[in-house]
Amino acid sequence: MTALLQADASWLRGLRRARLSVVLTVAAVAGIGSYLGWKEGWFTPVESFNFQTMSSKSLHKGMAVHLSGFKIGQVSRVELQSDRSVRVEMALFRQYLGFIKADSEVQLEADLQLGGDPSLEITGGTYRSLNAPPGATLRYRGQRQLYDQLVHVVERIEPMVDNISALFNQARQPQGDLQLALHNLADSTARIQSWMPGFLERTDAALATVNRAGGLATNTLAPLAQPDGDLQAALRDLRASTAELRTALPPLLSDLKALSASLHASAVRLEPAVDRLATQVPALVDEGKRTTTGAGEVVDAVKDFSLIRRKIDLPPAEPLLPTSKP
Amino acid sequence: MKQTSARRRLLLASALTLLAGCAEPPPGPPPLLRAAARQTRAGEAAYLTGHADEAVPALAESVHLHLAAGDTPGACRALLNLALAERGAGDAKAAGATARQLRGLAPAARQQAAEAGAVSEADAASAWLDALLALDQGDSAAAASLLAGAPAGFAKASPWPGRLETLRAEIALGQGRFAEALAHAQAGRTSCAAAHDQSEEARALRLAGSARIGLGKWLEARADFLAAVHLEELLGGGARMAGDLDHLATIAEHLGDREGARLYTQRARAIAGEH
Repeated sequence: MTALLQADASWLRGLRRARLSVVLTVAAVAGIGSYLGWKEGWFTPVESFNFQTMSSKSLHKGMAVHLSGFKIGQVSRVELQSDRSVRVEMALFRQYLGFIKADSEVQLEADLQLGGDPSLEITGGTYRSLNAPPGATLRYRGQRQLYDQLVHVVERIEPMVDNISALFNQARQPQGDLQLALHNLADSTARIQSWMPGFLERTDAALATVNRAGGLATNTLAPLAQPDGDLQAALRDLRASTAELRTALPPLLSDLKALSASLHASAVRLEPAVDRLATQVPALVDEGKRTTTGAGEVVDAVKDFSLIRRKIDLPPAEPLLPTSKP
Repeated sequence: MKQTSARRRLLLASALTLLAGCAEPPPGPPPLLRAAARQTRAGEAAYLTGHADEAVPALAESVHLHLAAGDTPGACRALLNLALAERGAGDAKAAGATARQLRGLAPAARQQAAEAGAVSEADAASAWLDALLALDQGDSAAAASLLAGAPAGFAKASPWPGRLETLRAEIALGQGRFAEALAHAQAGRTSCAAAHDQSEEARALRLAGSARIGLGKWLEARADFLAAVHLEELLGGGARMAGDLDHLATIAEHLGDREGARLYTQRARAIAGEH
């Protein structure tokens, strides 16, 4: 009898194992729950702050509160007041209370993100300001709507477009700075090209004339220097001056010759470059004109979007029959 | 920093997507223009298969539909096609009347094209058609003077620079000015190739080949006619190809290639027999 009523040993072992398993499971769930709660800040001491706004749109309980990108708390309550305003309470971690100043502001952050939860961001707060005491009411700054932000962006871009447009328009003007500069460059190059070949010949001719004049002066002054009275004395000074002139003239002439040779060498070196440039300048001017015209057309087209629309709306051209009879 | 940059990119993409989503889809052509395009296609098919007389009613309907839709440039092109079909059908009188209609409509088409920011082709088309019909009547001087007044400055994709040059080449060739004809034909060929106007390119090649024969450049002439035959093979222009093969046979005979001449003649007859 006793043997029949006594529990089977294997059943008892199974029972103990089951009990142990249940206890371990409960302990694991409790441990994980505690860990997640700790991660979420459930056990972190918090202090309450609040702010008031006119709408609870995008605001909800559990919403994260950030400061400089760090989560420092969450929204604990959103309630409608009797005056139709909305009071939002935030539970902020006590360790961050030093950052919450009396002039800090709360604002809704980044509601433009796709798939991202909106959050509250605490901004402002000067170091000189006093810390906000727990339970204080902070100032709330509403987030601009998407349309307002786009308008803001457009308002910032518009002056840039206007400036670029003005630049292109200026470049397109026939009497504009760019056109004038290109025109002057072409003109100057043409003048240099026409002037350069003759210049060297003219310089050589001038030097030859100076040489001839020097020789003639010497020939004229030599007879006058003969000893025949006062004239000799008068002319002696003149001869001395002439001698000085003759002494000084050759170095001067050689300097001029060297200068001329240097100019000639430079001209020889420059000539191919000038020739190349001279042929390229008209093309460059034309290219510049075409570029500015093209840029202007782009700007005009961007400014006048209806022009593009009209071109889009134009029906495709129909086929043209061949001239030759089939 | 990277996260901020990625966020900005995402914001930009979102804004663009939003704007694209706000954009209204472009409307298609109005029903009248769609119907006109269908009639033109039908007329083109009839014309290309050698039934120009059957193309005339469809192209006339296309003109009416374009006018009803207020599309004057389109009506001008339809009038030109109609005149070509009437000319192809052998009705020179009707083609002349259509050319007059086109001449009358050209100023309105020019104005409408200018309002749409486009270059009107109606004036060039009218001048070209008048010159072509004058040339058909053997009045090459009138044709040349009509072409002299044709406007220029079209885009590369326009068929008109090529067509005008090719017609000038034909006039010069008819007047025995072979070098001038060759120059116009070569210019026309280049413009037609740029505009993908293959039938007109083949015509320019044919004219260039004839001009070279006149200049005694037989080898180059053979190359031109061979290129024309190649294009006509693509276009399916049997009668024109047979004519080109006849020219090739003449050239081959002149160059002493009797076997080649026989083969060209044989092939030309076979094609002419099919048509």
